Amino acid sequence: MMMMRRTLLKGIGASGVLTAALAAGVLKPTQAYAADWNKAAFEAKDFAGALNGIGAANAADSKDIVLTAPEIAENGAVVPVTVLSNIRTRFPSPSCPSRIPCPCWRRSISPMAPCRKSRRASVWPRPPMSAPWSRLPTASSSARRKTSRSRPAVVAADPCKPSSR
Amino acid sequence: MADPMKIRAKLQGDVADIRVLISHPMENGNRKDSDGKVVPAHFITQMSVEVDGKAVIQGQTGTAISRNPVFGFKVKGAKAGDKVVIKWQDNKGESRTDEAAIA
Repeated sequence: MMMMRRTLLKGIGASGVLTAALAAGVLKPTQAYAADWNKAAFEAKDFAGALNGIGAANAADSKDIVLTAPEIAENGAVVPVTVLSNIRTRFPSPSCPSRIPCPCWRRSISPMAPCRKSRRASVWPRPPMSAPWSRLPTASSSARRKTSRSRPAVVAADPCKPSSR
Repeated sequence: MADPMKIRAKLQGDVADIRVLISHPMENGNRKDSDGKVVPAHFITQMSVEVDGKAVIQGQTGTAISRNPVFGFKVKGAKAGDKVVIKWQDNKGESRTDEAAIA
């Protein structure tokens, strides 16, 4: 970050315009928005790999996240998948100063990294919130879908709560 | 530039029901065209939803999502007239931002 700022300042100083920094590839427009795509998780070949990729290697069953998916997808083009999160959050917390709260606020010692990864399951200020997705937005969905087909009840992937609850 | 999203945001009690249809080919990279050539992957990798300036959903998506996907969200504590801003970005660097007001 500091390096980028240096280059940017140099660019401005040298030419007086921002285009120098743009040309140097420092300020790519795509960088302004969202973090990197979690390639490891999306391109995992198995369920465990996908969970590992999102930082939920020790995921345990929980009633706080409920996935609802059809047993049989009658129309492959439209497969409604609902995700209901009952994780209660309060924020801002020391571990998660971002405006998006994370489920690990209770464990304020935990570093930011796992918090970021758990954002997909995160909720905002007024708990609890439900977030039904028409379609499951993860590549691990194929693996997850298998699970929910054979056992369409509860699958949990709360990376912050490996075993308890 | 991709086609605009269709956003519908309705208030039911204090829960806003936001639905969005994104126009996107969502190629998974495994499909072949009529000449037998692989169609390169082209899919949405990130999307986010803001209500009244606050990010309520941030998500990453993969190739499991169908073409022209529909997403629905329920957000508590929203008010009528709040601005809903939805953004997406795909693996080719294309992106789009659209907004609507909660009715």
